[in-house]
Amino acid sequence: MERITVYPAARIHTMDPGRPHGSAVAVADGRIVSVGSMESMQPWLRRYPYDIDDRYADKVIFPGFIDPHTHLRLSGTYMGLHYVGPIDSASPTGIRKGLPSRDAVLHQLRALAAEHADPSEPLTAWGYDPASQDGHLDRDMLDEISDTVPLWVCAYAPHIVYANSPMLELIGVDDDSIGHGLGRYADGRLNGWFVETEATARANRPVAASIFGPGTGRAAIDRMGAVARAAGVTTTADLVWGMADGFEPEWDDHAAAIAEGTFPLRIYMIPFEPKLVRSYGAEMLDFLASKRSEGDDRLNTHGVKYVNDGSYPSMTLVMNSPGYLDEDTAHTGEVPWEDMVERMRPFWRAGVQIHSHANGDRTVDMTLDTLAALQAEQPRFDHRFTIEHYCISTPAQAKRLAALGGLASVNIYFVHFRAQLHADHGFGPDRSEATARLGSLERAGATFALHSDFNLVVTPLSPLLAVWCAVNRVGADGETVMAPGERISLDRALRAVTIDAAHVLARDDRLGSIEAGKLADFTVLDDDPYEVDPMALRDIGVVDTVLGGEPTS
Amino acid sequence: MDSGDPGPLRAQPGSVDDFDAAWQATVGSIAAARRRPGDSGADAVGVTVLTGFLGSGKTTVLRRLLAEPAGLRIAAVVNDIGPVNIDAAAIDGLQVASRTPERVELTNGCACCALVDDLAETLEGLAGARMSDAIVVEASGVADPATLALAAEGAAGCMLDGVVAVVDAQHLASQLSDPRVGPAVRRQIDVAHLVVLSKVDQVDSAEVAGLADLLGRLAPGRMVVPAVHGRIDPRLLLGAALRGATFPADTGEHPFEVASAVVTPTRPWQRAEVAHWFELSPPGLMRAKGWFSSPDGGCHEVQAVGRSWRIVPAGSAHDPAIVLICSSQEAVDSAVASLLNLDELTSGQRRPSG
Repeated sequence: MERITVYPAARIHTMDPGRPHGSAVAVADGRIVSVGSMESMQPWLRRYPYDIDDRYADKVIFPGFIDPHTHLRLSGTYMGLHYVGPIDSASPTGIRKGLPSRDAVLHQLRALAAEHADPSEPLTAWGYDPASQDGHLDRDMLDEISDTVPLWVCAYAPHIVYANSPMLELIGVDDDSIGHGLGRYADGRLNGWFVETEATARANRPVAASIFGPGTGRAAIDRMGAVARAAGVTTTADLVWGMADGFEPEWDDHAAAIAEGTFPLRIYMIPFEPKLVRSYGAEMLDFLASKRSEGDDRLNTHGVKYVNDGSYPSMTLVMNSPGYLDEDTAHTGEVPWEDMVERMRPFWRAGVQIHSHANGDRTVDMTLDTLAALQAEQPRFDHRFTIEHYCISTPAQAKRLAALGGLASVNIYFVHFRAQLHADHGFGPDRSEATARLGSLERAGATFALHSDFNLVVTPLSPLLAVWCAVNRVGADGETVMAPGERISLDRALRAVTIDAAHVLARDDRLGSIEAGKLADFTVLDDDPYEVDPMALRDIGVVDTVLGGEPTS
Repeated sequence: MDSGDPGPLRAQPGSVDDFDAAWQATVGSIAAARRRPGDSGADAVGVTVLTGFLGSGKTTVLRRLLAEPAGLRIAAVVNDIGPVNIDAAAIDGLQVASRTPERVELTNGCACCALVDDLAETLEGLAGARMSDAIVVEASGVADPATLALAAEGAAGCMLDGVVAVVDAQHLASQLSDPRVGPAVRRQIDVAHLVVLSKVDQVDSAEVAGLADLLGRLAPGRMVVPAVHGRIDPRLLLGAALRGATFPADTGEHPFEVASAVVTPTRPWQRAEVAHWFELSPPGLMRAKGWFSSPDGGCHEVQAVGRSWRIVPAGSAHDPAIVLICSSQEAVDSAVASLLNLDELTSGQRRPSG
């Protein structure tokens, strides 16, 4: 140990229940040396040289937040689409203001074009609503913004794409082109509209090539890493490693981003089981072992991931009786349920942690049956079998999960953003109200984490918002408390984005709380969540994060 | 604007639900475009996307189509084979020829296939197997038909034939006024090339006229076909049903009579002229399919559903002939007359802009 850095703070919440508070934390070589007060850590400070860094002296320090289930690389590719719609909306960075008029949209596009880095790549925007933003865009209007950068603007109802002249060239159409849906001015010149399926498909091809082209995965990681950092996240896990572009390319993108200092997070790559089986067959366990030894504390892999039903917002999860209000739109995953024990067995026997996606209570039943069968074959302690999402469930399932030693990683955001909608749409009032039963998990004694699943569902990626949802359970109307008995305490909710999330990722020995010897990851807040009105939790500002002892700002 | 007018200003953005749908549709449309760099040729299998809200009767339409496929081998792609209930005697005495969990084949060459993994892969598998003349995708009640249509358009060996929305005559008005259901139903109508108004026997004729009027305001230019018990002329639903230039006499079983005619070009036509004719969207034209040759000697396939049309190089040489199906005899007479005008234009002569 060469030199210690001490960060004094207005308050430190360690999330170590034995020593819950402090006013200073000392770090060296990426790890925590001591937490307590300047006075309590004197035995260390007398023996080693130290600096005091007081940048957080009036701030509140937590262990670095952990979102244990995201898809940053996959979702990040789409985040290059700029939003120009009329309504306020949730975005990964928080609430995004709508634009009131066509002039405001053109103004925004002009600003984006001015800072657009590569003029050969299209500048892409979506969400334009000609009904409420004063009429259609057209080629001449967009040419005035830029006649060199290709501009592609997709309408809110994506049956119309607007393009400027460079974009028309990229799409490969000119005034002599023939096809339905190519808009024209009265003089026969193309006006930059692509209307309806055949035409929009044509207009989308160069954009798809640019969104998914070489290098976009890496760019997505950088972009989403910044988004996650801004929300206070220091550790996450990619729960479909391998699915998009393959195991090695996805790993290499993350490794490069970390090496070049553009990704201020730790990340665990959790392989999508069907792809792992297809890619490596009998060698799959060896492959995972080799990646584990190649990995380190910034980038590593553990466990394996199954997807066994659909999603909550698309109403494709699998439910028990009485089922869907209307047509049953449920989907199961790629692995047949009757093969589940057989498919999980090699991982269970090898001690590989299993993360199994189950949104509906029928799927939760199947998952618990599978876990019970595996336990009967070969009993294991501390296996950390985790049900991912756990959107619709029962109190009995929570007890059974705890009895089998299982964990839950829960998507809590839907309680606020979608549950009221689904009372009369898909799931019915009872199940919608009781979406994400954290109170039941707590009463059953099951350990659980909160996650965003930040993917293509437009809900924010924000642990503080997740905590707000878990503590308040206020519906989209801003008033109704959804299943009050499923609310949890603030302390429990904060554990679920720190130490208990680390437990779900099997890293609570080194992450998730501020204890001597652990990795020095912190999230620095403007205000103390334990002091503010619970309804103001989501408004607390994230000042900075510290990763391995180093501020990321 | 001269052409390609997307109609009245649309979109009712507002709810989280609708916003989510818009985002999903946008990324879905881009992901669909990723799959294939160019257009499929005319030998591609036509894919019809059949959409409609829960309980609208689209499964009934699908079952009727499989039972009376106009001699075509139709592959239906569904989320779940169960509800189609393909074994039931209601599929008019047809026998199941073979069955796996993913696929049930009928003795008339039609098949019902479960959607596995992603739609484009399923379609590419069916197109590659070359066992079907046409593919119908039944969209689940909540799926966005635009995204499915783009997936069909992007799948190798496939070509979007059209989007058909089944709309429930009894419940359309109440669905549209429901803030949670309305946007989805409007999107389905909005993206459709052809709207089938189902259960018209459950409402009186004045109501049918009112609904046609309402649909006309929601989606101007969309063709509306009434149907009883899911019966619709397959020639309206599927471009493949228009292959060849002759039809059996109409049996009169369809509550909605259509009129058809065949136009036979006597000389080469300019592609731009034919495109211009379709772009002007002759009143009452519901379907068209056929072939013509151009002055440079190329053979082109043309097809149209409602006001949507496309002209592509033909996969193989065909005798020039174009089948037109219109909503009435007057409409088809007028369409034939104006299309035959093309035959009188000499090569290279440009029709004055309409």
